[in-house]
Amino acid sequence: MANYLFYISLAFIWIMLLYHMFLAQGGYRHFKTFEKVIPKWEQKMNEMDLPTVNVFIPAHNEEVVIKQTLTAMSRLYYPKDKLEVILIADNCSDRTKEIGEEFAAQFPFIRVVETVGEYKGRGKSSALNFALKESKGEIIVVYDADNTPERKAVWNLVMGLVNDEGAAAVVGKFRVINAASTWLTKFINIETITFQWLAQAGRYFWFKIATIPGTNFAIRRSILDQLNGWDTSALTEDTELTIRIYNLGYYIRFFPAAVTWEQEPETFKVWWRQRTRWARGNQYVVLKFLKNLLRLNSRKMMFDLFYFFFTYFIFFFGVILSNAIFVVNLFHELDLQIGSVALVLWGMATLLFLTEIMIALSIEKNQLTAGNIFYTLLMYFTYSQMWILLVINALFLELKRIIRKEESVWYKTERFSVNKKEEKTV
Amino acid sequence: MTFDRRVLYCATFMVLLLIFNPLTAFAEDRFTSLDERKVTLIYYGSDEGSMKNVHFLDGTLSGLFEHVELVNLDDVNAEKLRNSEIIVFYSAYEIDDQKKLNLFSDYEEFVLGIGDGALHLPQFSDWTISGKQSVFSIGEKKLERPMEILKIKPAEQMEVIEWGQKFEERFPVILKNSAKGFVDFNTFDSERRFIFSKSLFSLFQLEEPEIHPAYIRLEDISPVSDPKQVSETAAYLLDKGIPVYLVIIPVYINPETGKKVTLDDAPDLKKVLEQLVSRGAYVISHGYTHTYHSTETGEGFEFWDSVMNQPITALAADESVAKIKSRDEFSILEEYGKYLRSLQQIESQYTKNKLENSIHSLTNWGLPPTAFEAPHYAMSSNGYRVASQYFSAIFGQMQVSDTDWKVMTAPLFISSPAILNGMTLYPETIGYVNPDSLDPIGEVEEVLDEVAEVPGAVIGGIYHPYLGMEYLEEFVSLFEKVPNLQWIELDQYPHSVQTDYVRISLPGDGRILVKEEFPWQTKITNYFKDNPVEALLWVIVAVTGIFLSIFIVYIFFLRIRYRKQLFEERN
Repeated sequence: MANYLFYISLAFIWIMLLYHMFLAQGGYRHFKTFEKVIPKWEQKMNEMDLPTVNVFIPAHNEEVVIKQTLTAMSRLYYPKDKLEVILIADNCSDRTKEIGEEFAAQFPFIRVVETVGEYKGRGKSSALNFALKESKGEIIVVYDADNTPERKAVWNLVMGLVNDEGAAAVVGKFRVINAASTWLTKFINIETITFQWLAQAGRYFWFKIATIPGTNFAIRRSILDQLNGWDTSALTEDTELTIRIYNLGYYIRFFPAAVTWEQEPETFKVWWRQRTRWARGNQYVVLKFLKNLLRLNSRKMMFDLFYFFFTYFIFFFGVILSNAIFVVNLFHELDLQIGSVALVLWGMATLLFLTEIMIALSIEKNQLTAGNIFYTLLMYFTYSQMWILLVINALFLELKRIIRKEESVWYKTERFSVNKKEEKTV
Repeated sequence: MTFDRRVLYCATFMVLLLIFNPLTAFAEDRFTSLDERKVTLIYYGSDEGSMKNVHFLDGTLSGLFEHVELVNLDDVNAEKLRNSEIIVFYSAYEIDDQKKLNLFSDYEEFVLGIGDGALHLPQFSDWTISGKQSVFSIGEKKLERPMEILKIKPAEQMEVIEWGQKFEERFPVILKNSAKGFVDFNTFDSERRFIFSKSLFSLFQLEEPEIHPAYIRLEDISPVSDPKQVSETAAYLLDKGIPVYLVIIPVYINPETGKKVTLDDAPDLKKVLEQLVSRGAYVISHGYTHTYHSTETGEGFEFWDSVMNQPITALAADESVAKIKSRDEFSILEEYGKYLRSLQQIESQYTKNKLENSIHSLTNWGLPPTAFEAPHYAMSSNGYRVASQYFSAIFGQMQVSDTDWKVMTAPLFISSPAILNGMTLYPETIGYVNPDSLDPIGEVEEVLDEVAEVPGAVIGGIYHPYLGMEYLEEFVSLFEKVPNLQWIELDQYPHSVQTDYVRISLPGDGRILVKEEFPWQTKITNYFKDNPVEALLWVIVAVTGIFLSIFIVYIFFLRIRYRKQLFEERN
């Protein structure tokens, strides 16, 4: 019995590890190739009549960061007659709107709008829908309020769209601005770099799949019109939007040339709340779409949802099972038949973890440092293990919600109960 | 003490050591007591009944004589007779080939005639037969049913070894003088085999062995056997100093699902068997699956098609099998011969595959087999020929017909009958504990008492571990009451088991040497076959290893690129 359970856990874990290994390969190859098209694309941009662009910045009480964000917006490289940056002040009780208006007075392409009526205080999707109604740009670019995009970020996103007709949206890369602040942001920095070069770039290279991360992406207005904007009832509007885009028959391009910098939680408590919310949101979306899996038009998305399902349920179960067997075996001889290969596999898993992260870090300038290698090693035993507890917690909360039949109420409760630092994203 | 004396003392000590080592003494007894006189067993009549008796005689004689040649009367010539020091002539039928019979006229050495037909030999020409007579007992042994014998009046003075008795009257049944002897019955069923075997010592003036070799086999251990029962029964024997013979079927096939269960799927049992082998238990290969058609492992036959009651004719169990054609169905004899040869080729290939699989898998599991036992003892003579290429020792009984598996026999001595093509047979003589019987132990005891009356007879029995300890103590005590019983330690005899890749040698000095030389391709294939999960995991290790190497190369290139960039920026 113990043997079978052990084999099951090994299978679950290694299906994921092998897939990630495959993704890492794709990620590296995407890095090697994604820039090759740029000269040709630039040429087309210079020759064509550029599309009009709206940059949306949904903000809910963001006075701490909004000045820096708008400063970055004021320096964006894009013809100003074709660009309109819209700060969406949603139910703000601080100086967010005032700061925005100061910028608007100085830069004519910056505009401040304030949500009203049914759009007010209902979250990010609602704020974005409001802005959609208030604007006319052919391309919509979205940034979170704590983002500092690089000068050519919007240009690159738009360039991706005008040169790729099959892409409904283009997603850029984000980097951590406060990476050096605390031990936690160091971990998050490593994590986000790896996520983007492994999961985003890897999936895009092999399957043309990328997920909208909620910030630093551009989407055609025509697509949003077709989709009736953002779904305000969705728990994680970005994932939901992603699935609907693929369902329309389009894909999303991952174009790492468009870069933005964003702040990440500096304390464990904020991180825990934020990640629990993500995990719950993803679990919800996965379960919701899995139920209708066969109704999805996009096979790619089925595959991707299945991957999420594996990540949050199967892989997680495999890890728990493996750990449980390990602990039980310490006290009671389980007589596991598997020989030294288990030990070798464990070693291989650790090495894979290290090398995959090191590839991602090597791609980014100044990231493959001795300090980061040390944190990566530490991460395997600490930060990565915390993920297990986090998923357990998220699953527990989700289960509780399902039992109590609290249909998605939790999301809003959570959003308004977080501390100040997290509240900056609507 | 001078140097010469020291050498003398040492030599004396070594000799004493050899003499008093009971195991060595036993081995010596078995192998040096074989009489060196050359025996030719000549038979007439090749029907199934006759051949069963001939093979019994051959087996029995080969247990007493070193050189026994089995010859059909048709093949006898003057030279064969000249080279024989003893002739044993068996015939249940009248012989009309006077020319052949005349060959024996000049033969002056000892001739033992067995069966009515043998009286046609010139040696018995002056004997008179005055009809037939039924006897109810022979010697002190009461016969199960009356036996008909010839009323013989020998011409000269004869020594009667066994008398047949009818009420108060006595009739000679086994008799001899210095130049000839005669056995007045021609079958060796039930009690007759004991009477005959016992009489051979007097007939041939052989020294009666003082001991009874003995063994107990723990039968039909398969991957679905209960490890506790196997462990318990074997440990009981080992603790008592009784050698354990584990008769193992390496693969169990579920008759309903067709699913294979190997010892890898039964880790507890495997562990028990490994421990028992490390304590000195011997492994006997009991085929590979103990089944041919979709019968259950342990119940089915493996080297005989029990459904059609004919030799194996198809390599795969699921192939449809037809009845083997008879001679009448062929107009040309050559065609018939060709047909039979093609069937034999299939049977040989099948047997080879099964035996090699069994030896290889058992050896891979650390349970190297030292002997063979055919499931239900059923095997054709061709099967025995193939088996003899792999094993030198075989346990059980021998099937002596190529058309009916039920024709079985076994001599009472450790022997090397011609049909086994060089293999040494360790006969099963007392049967097994049958829990369905009214008196499971009593039944065995009855046979055992009869066997024990024959000097040197092997007391060989079976115990099924699934019976647990219920009958084992009583079963063992039956053996223990036999005076001069000596447990057979197989490693005291020179034996070997071999395939192209495995050689298990028993030099006869207590060692079991195992040498495996599988080519790496076979090792990998076997490993995959035996440990599919683990093998798959090693494949994952290999794939991951390749990717890891690629990743390290990537990191290296990225570092070079990064350094180049820094250099360019500085400039």
